Amino acid sequence: MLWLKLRREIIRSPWQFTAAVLIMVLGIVMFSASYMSYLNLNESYQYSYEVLHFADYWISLPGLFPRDAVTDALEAEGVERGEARLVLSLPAEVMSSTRPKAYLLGVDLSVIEEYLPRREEGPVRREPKRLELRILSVPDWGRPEVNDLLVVRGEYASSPDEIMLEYRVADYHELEVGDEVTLFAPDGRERAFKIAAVVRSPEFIWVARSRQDIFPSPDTFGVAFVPESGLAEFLFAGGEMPVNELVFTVSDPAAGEAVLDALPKGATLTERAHQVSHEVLQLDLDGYRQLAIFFPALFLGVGAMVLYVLQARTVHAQRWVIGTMRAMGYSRGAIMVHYLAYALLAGLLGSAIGAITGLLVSRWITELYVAIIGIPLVRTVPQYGVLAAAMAFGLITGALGGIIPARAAASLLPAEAMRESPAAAGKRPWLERVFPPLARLRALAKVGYRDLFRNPRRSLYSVLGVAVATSLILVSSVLLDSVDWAMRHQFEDIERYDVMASFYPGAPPEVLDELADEEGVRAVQGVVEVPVELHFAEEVYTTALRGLEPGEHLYDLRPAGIDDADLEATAGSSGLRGIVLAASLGQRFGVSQGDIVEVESLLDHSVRRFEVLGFAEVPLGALVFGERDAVARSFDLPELYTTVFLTVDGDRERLIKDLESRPGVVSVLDQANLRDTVRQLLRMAYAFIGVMLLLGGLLALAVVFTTTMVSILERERELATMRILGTPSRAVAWMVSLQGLVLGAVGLFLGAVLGQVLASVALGMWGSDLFDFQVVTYPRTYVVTGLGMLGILLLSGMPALRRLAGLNLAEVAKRRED
Amino acid sequence: MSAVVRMVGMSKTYRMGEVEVKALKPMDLELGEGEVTVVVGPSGSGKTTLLNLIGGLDRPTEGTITVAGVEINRLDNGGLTAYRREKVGFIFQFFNLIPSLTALENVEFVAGLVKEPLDPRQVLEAVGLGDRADHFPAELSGGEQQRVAIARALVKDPLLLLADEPTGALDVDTGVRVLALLREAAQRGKSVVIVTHNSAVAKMGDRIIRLRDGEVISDERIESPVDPLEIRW
Ligand SMILES: Nc1ncnc2c1ncn2[C@@H]1O[C@H](COP(=O)(O)OP(=O)(O)OP(=O)(O)O)[C@@H](O)[C@H]1O
Ligand SMILES: [Mg+2]
Repeated sequence: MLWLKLRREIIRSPWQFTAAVLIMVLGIVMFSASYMSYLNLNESYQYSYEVLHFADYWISLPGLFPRDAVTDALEAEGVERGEARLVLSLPAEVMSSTRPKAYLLGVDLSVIEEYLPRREEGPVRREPKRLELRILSVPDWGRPEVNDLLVVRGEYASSPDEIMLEYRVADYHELEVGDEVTLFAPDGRERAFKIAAVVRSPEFIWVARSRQDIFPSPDTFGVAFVPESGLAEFLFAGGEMPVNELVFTVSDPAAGEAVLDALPKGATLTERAHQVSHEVLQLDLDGYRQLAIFFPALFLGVGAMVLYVLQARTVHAQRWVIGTMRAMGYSRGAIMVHYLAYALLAGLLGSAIGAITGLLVSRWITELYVAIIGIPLVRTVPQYGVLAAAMAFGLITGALGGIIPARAAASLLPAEAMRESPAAAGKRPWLERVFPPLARLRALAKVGYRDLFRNPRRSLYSVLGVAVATSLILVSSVLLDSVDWAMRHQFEDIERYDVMASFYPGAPPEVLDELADEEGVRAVQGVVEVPVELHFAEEVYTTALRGLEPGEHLYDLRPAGIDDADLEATAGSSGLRGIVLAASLGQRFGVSQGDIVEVESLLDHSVRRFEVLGFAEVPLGALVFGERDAVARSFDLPELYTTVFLTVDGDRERLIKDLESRPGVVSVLDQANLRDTVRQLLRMAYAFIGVMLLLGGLLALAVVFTTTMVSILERERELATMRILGTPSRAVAWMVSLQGLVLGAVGLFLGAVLGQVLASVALGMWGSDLFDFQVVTYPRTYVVTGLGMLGILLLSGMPALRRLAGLNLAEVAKRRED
Repeated sequence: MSAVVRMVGMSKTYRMGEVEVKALKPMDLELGEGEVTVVVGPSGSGKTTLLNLIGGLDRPTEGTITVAGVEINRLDNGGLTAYRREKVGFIFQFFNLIPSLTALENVEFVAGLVKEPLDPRQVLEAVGLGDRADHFPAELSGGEQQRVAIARALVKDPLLLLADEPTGALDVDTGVRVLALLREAAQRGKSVVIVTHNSAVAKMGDRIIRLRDGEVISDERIESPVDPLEIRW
């Protein structure tokens, strides 16, 4: 009997039930899809690390050492596997494909290739291309004990003239097994190596050039592995290859320090948590997990609210029925179960649909993510736990939403239930006591706003629902705006050059003059960069000291808050007087203006102490800055420029080729091209905001629909009376719409604030020396979000208004009450 | 006596799928100025239907109904709304006050809708509720609420006052005071129609129309109606 009643109720207002289930489905899909893919990704990282023996510790030695002099340290107790190796960067040349590349900021875009300009078909044209390769030595026999490689194509290198390329650089230049890579020694000798294999490495799941450059383009930077004997022949005249890095796994974390203690002074230890690739991925994954919990929680909270609103209304409307059922002998329990069943059923249905959809979506997300990031080995985990949790969350949400109304129903006494309605008592809202002029409004307006206070809990839910939906839309827009702003700030305001050429050991001033005279070159700026270690109280940070000439602005610190006078002020009578730090470094190491920082040059390990004079707000690249000549003088450098920036108004490609053919050029970066691609990618990213808009929109739609519908149902008699008394139906519709809009506006405002807060929390969580983004919201984001939500509010009010227009006045007016 | 409302061949049939309910069979009726007409009849005889047609809440299936020279069955929805607003005062069995407005505000609400309303406070005083003006409906007794409803109907100085079971939810003492207010309104020239199945109430009418199965079975004029305050049931 009761089940029949339940079924009738669902069938009679299917939209309400659908709205409640829909919110549930959205929440559960979000939760299960993102949490499942989080688990899959985490599992895949762990699995890759495990199979490839990803190191626990890296020790960088203060220079080159004979292998035998350092490997003893690896005998320390607690060390499981160890490897001593040589790591260095060398200029290289490859025959690169000339087709446009789908690659940006460390992300392989070929997965979303459809959205990019089409690649030309036909045979690959090739041109020589200079780039920097990070070369790591691998044992001649057998695989590395630590940080093993996964061979994607080809065979593991077995002879001294073979090289293995990390897959990103290989794919980018379309290099295949059997192609050649030419390496250049510091003394200018060159040697061609044959590509034996294309590989993936657990150390370079995320390819970073350094902590300051986590988005190197494979155009100019790549990773490669060469057998020891090859490096020995090429660089050390066939003698034994020295080493400069130890990597090892441990069974006891204390072993890290123990190994370090056994090594020459000056060696620095990096634990896994601070390994760049791992850290970037971890930040990303952590952020992802937070979102995987946070947004679904919001959705389910709103779902519970909507169910509560619906059920509270039903119980109130059915007081007579409840009283009658109790009088007929139904137990309190039976009534409780009956009224809880609707909410539980919505929860169960929502979570079942949601969990299954989530499972499918999670597979897709995992695939996409794995393809974009390039995780070496993928292992998915069974998702019973998440499925169970999803079902549980659905039921809990249903129970939370249904329990209060169900208990209220069960505790109604039969006699009481059938008495006149005690609720809906009008009273003067506090707002009117605080703000008396409200009492002088026209009567219809008064009805309108007093109703908002008559059922404050429902008004609150409308507000919260809109707020959550708004913040959902806004938080993703604000994140994107902030990234957009940071990227533009970085690539357009600060890095204003079109081409960057790196020289080793450096370019003399004549070369700069020559370059300035070249056709198509508009401006040239030379800077000196010294690789340095900053020593703080506890920690050591490796970065570079960049010497800039005041008045030259191809790399422009002025938008970052450092003007020419600030830069000039770093120069003293005999070299640097002080330095400017990237703001993120100041934050990370708790340094403020006026503090003294110890700076060690990695060229000759000499140590200087400088005062911190200011901070530069640079989103990417946590560098240290000073006046150019002062930097050179402080570190006794010859008059050479390590990096040259150029702006070009002629044929850029020709100029780049020309630069690459010059002696001493390590790599040439086409910054203008990068800038275009960044712009393009950001435009595309905004398209994905549409997804969030859709989700937020659906949520808002469901919430506003239910609350306006319920509030109209509850006031049908009152609204019909107004119509009978002669209030034009348009006026009533206006009043009802305005009520919705006022609540919506409050929700919109709260949501805007909430969205900002969430975005800054999210960015703060990410904020590090790797990326330093500020929260930025473009005005257009507010406008678009506001208008979008307004549209949704109006749309979701429509069914209610239609119901209002179709009110049967004669019928409603004779009802005893609603 | 001039006819304020003239119904000619007016009938109402409700159609629910296959089934037709003849709520009112074709009838001719006229209502005069300053007259209290009481409509009685058993449940389902069509009393409320008749009242709704006169009040412009519904349209007749056939025939015409003319109020003050306007054939209201030809009006569109907007026209009917205006008609209800300008010409008709409704009084319901369950009062139907707007809960979020005070007694005075409920009256003012209606006053704000018409061109030349009476003074809301005076009307409220006239029904004996001057001192309860600032109370919300939930704070008033049933009789007081019904008197507010009458004030609300009177304030726009309508041509017609239509009351469907106005005493249905009230005890005798409160009920007769409400009826007395309706009688007073008629004395000031309003056409008052009271629907009831309480035959005691019928005694106050200038005219008693009896309905059965949608037909007028008698239409009786009363020479000396009973003073409402003397009615008992
Ligand atoms: N909206 C409707 N749809 C279908 N039939 C209706 C509708 N309204 C009234 N009826 C039918 O029309 C007939 C007359 O109804 P009406 O409400 O006028 O009776 P009444 O005399 O006011 O009765 P009561 O004294 O019980 O209020 C009844 O048979 C009723 O079932
Ligand atoms: Mg009736």
